Amino acid sequence: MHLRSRGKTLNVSLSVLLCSLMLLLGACGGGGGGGSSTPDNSVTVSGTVTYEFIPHNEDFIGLDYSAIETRPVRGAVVELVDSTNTPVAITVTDDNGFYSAAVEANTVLRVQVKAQLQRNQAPSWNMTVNDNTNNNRLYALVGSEASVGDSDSQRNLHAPSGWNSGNYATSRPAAPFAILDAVYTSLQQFVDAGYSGNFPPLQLHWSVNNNTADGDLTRGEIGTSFYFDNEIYILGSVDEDTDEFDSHVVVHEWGHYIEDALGRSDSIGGPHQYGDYLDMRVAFSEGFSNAFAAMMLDDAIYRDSSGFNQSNGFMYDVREKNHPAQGWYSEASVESVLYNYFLSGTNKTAKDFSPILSTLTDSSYYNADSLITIFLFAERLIARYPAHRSALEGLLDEQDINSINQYADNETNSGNNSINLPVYKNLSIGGASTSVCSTSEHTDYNKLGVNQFLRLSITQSGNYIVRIERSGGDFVTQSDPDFFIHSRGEIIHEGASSANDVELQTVDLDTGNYIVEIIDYANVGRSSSVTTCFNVFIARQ
Amino acid sequence: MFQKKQGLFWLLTLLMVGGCSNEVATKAGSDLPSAAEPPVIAQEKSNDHHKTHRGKPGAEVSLRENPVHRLEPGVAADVDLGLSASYNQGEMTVTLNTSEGLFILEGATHYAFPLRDNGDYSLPLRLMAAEPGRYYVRIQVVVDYQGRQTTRALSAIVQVGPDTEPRQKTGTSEGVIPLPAQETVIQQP
Repeated sequence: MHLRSRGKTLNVSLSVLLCSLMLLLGACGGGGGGGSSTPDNSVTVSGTVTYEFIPHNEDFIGLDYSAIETRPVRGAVVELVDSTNTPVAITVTDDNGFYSAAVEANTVLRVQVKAQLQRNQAPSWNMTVNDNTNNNRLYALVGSEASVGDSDSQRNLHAPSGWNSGNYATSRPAAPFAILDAVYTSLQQFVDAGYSGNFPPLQLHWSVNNNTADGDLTRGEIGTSFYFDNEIYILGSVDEDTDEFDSHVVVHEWGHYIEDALGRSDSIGGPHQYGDYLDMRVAFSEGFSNAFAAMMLDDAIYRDSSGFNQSNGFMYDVREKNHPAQGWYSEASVESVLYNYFLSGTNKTAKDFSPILSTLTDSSYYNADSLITIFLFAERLIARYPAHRSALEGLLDEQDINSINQYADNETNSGNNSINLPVYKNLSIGGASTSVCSTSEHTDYNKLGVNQFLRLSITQSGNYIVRIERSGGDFVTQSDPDFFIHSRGEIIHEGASSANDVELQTVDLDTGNYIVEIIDYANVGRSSSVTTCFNVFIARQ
Repeated sequence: MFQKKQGLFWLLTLLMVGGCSNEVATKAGSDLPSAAEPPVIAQEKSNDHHKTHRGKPGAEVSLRENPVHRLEPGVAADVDLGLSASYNQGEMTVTLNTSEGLFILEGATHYAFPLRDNGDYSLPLRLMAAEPGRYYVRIQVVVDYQGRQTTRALSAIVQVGPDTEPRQKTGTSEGVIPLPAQETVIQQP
């Protein structure tokens, strides 16, 4: 690479620039034309790109290697690369996996299909599958190098799963393309719903080394498939947990990206499972992503394979309505409401994703003063689509969610603990302190009742003293009250000292509406059920 | 060559000594107890809980602690992999195995636990690997809770000998990882 002459480097750069420009102008799209100017003595190289998809068993538990399907690689970037590793044409596959490009006759080249979805006209996207255990390099399906000859030719490329006689081979070429295809299916739903915005770039990280140890990401110790900070990591460890063919898992995580990238999410993440009493921000985000996966894939059965030969796993139907925990704090309730609303044909078009999408991307939603919860979503959706009110309200009612106001006014479901009502308490300036309690009854930091929420309205900018003081609750020697002040999804101030039983901070606040989150940090991860109560006071300095 | 021979010797010895037991054994005194490093991802005060991963659904079972268990090559050591399960009822089955080259000398590889309030579940093991390297104890968990079955795969990290693997740089490198295609070429006449 370093031995390249200056002229050659320039040619390479120009070539790539030209191809990129043509992609930008759309000339390379849709598997139609080639990505560079057509030479006089050009020939056409075309073909179809496919990959092996391994479906789940008929009972949805585990993968069925006896039913392997061949599917087209759709929307992927195809490069025709010459012997100096220079792309001489760039295009993308169409919905049948077909590509076509014109190149100079007798050029020696290979076809390279990148694990990359790219579209440059609105809605634009650029999403790749990279190996986090190999310097985040991009995967590409690569054909053999040969002359194109002096007539048109076809080069069909197929990505095998690598499964042979009961085992995977070292290389599993289909995996990155299975992940991409789940994303592509979802992107098409956005196009069909009329979305015209652009998607921020996204890297999905997958490797055969991606295992369930929680450690160094570059070694593949990713713990589980997850979304974090505009990146997705997907498990790939054989006989342990692979997720490349678990499309619902891939799209669930992609749903978290969509929330963050196109709307807003206030989720604090963390472990969650069926039947949990969750922090309402987590319940909404996880319930949304479960329902979202079913909507995008048009398949209500969420399934996740794992174990020896990927033969184990679990499944459930997101349409289910009977759940052990029902309410605004239950991801099962949220997914049930959202998915059954999606299915509903009452005063709306069944399976029309656009009302949900337009609500998520509405500025009144992502700029809301309240937190992102089922309450806000319901309020904003009904505001945009009043005719859908009866359909949505009926579903909310079935899940014992009793308010369609972003601040959960008049909610009566306490999650079996009165400290959780009202959902948002009021905090007044210089007035009486507000009493809140934090509980560890549901054990983890992201469960119902650990965090409590207060509404705060500031009419005069300035410095304010915030004081939180232990006032009662169970007899425990230690509590550690902390607070976080949220402004439209951002934490703008925090008081998180380790002082026992008290927190005192001065914060500067502009006029506006805020949410103050109170937590007893000592209740995070406490092994027994403890409730501690505090007086919260704020005054202008 | 010497290392290979030494590895083969230990492998044969291990197989002769007993291999994997399916019975819960009494904890024996170890030749050299495993040393546990601090957790890889340390829990910090402040608003770290606002920046946590959003992981996939599944059984809510985790390792009680997440240290890197350090062992010396060829030296057996006791490791207790405690599980925390956020369930107050139901049943949990746990199946253990190891990555290639790491051996369970003592300890059960299959458990069935009735779930109880805020339960911690102990999985005592005696482990050994002949060769230095990064190994994993793999744990498959199936939970039956309130009529629904969910699963979770977990792994404990076992570092045998020094950790010599170079750290990778962050960011994205140029070039692609070539995946071999099955290709058919049809030349028009």
